[in-house]
Amino acid sequence: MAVVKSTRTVVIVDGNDISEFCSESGPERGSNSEDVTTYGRNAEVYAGTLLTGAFSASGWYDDDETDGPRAVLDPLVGQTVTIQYRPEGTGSGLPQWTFDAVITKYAESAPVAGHRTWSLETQPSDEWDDTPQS
Amino acid sequence: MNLADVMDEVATVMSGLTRINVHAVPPGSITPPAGIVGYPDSIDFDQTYGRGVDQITDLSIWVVTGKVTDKTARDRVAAWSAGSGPESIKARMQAHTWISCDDLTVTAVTFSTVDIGGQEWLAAEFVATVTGPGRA
Repeated sequence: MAVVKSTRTVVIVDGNDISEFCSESGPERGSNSEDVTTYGRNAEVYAGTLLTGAFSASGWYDDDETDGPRAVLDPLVGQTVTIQYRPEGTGSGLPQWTFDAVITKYAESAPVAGHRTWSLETQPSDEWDDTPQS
Repeated sequence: MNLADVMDEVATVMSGLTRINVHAVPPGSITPPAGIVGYPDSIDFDQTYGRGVDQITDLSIWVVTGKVTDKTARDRVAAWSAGSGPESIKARMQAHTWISCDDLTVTAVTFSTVDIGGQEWLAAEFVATVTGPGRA
């Protein structure tokens, strides 16, 4: 058992490895719940229903016209693509989430005293595959 | 991104200024007007995943212009510290196409006097933020 540095994280969107432009990323898996309380109970009772997910990423803008975040992500807005998320880096047997997601937003920010940044928001769709990397 | 390469390139850009003796490393002695590329406060690794981006924070670039009581020294440091113009260090750094890094931005300049050989000299310290690839 050991802690894992975030810098190992690998993010692949629609087949494009955007890791070297990322400084933040946040996959979330969750579930909705339903109130199934019946008469005679002293407390509310809940049951899980459909799984949910969320995924966002952000980082430093790069002007690479082929691999940069703008070149890769901006054209994908509105499309459903496959995202691969590798929290411990790339390697056989290491964990990976693979899921489809609608790219709902690509944004850029330009603070006057700093570097240009980008951010990505998605709406994951359907179940996530957590099969480790082959 | 290699610190020595960045310091050498900064010195090359500064050498285009009028009448300046440029040193790419802090020298044992100087002859004003002089420019000296000093060391940064830090190199901050891993600004992005996968060794994508490193950042050099507060790279020091010193200039020593002349005797503090000399009007020529004041005029020279004023031109070097201006935000624009042919002798502006910030403008020159900003206009340069960098090879050793992705970007170098001069963020501030402060003024002081330094004692060299018992004489007070007018000096200015420019600080710059440098970003570049972590793997190259």
